[in-house]
Amino acid sequence: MTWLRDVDRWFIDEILPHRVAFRRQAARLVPTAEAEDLVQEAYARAINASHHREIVNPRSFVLTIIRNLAHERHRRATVVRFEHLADMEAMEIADSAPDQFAVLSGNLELARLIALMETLPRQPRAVVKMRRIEGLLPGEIAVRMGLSVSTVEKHLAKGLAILAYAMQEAPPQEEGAQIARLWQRHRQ
Amino acid sequence: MEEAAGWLAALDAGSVTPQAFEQWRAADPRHAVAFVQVAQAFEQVERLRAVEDRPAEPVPAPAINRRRMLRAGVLAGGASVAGALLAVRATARDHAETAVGERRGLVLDDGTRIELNTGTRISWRTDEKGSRVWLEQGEIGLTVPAAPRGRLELEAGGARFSLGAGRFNARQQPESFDLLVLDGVADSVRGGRMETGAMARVIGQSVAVRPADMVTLDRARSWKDGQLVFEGESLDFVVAEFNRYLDRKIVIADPALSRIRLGGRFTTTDPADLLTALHASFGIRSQRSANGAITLTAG
Repeated sequence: MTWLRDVDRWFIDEILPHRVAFRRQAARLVPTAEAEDLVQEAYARAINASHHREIVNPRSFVLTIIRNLAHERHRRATVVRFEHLADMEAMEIADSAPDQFAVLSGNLELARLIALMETLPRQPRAVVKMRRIEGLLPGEIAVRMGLSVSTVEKHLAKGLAILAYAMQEAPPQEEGAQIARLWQRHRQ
Repeated sequence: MEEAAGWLAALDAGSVTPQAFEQWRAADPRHAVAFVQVAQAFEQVERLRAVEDRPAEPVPAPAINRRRMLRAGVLAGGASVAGALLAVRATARDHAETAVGERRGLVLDDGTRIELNTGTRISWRTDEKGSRVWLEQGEIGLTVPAAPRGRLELEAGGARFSLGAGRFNARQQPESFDLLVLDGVADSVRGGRMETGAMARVIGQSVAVRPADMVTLDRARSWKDGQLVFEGESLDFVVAEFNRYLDRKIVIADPALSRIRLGGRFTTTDPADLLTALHASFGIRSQRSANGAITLTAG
């Protein structure tokens, strides 16, 4: 895609595959409801990094940002509950363990995508499939569906937003159950 | 995310200029992040081309490391061993005390069980009319059996209470004395009747009775298991509670840290969990100084 800068490419290839680890780290440090927001805030810092190609370990880089942001939030918070915190040992594991979680999530991605596609509303799903799987251009999809190009554009946007959001959102510890459930639905 | 998806779809359809898009993306790093996430979804869907015509295989659920999750959820370790239970024969007036960090239990002749928390000193006398207990310093838990011989009189801080069958917690504070009814009834000589969940606070000559809050009740039950409970108290308070159990006290070296408020459950015997949690969550560093005290400084 021509709209992606080098830093965006780097972000997709080096950062996003570790999203499960980031989410787990965040969930240890802040209440579950705030975890995804913390990850997104860390992403916003990471994507502004200068010399991103010189960062030796992008995963540790973001994990450290998450931890520092959590410290900042805790200092501002009225009350911090230690139930959300792990001991340092667990933290170190998160920092240095070989990247089995990224590998795992990479493998899951395909199954998850199939399942997620099934959850899209009818028209956005049809548009996403035609555009990305059949490889039709927006104009061709418009003709085939009897819609205007701008309506096709809206369906594509809606479908992509749902997919992108769901790809970030599923909390790691529920992933197994959720995937299994989606799969059942897919196979019926 | 919706906004970013809108931009991507518009770029894809050629309905916006790259300049307008660049302007939007540069306006906020969150825009850039949302855009790469949408772009990734856009790219990922293409991979389904390979599997579209094949029946899908179920994917095994990822194993969850339950032990690690549990450890992350529960910081405080198991309860430490309770003090020895001592049967003590009543004489004219008996004494018992615990050192800092020590905890022990004893049973009076009338069957009343008393647990002494850290740094506590009591005396008591038992005769035909019943028992009388004086709390001189520290904190005790009392379990009074359904009494064939009468009620138990408790004296502390210049106030006197008459306890019926039930469980109670009495604590001598620097400025006050607190009696908590965990279960049962008590009568205050000046404050009237107290029932389960009530707390009397004695300051000088005044006795104020009111319902105890949940954390106070929880705290009164938990110290017997060697646990400290917090629910949004300031670090000042938390450190003071810990220090009751420690020979080598914790000192907050940086006054700015005192404002931090926290909650959680910790073992009283070992401040290591607290120090670890403070470091993990706030970056607070702890150091042992030459005299043995533990000083806390902002990281």
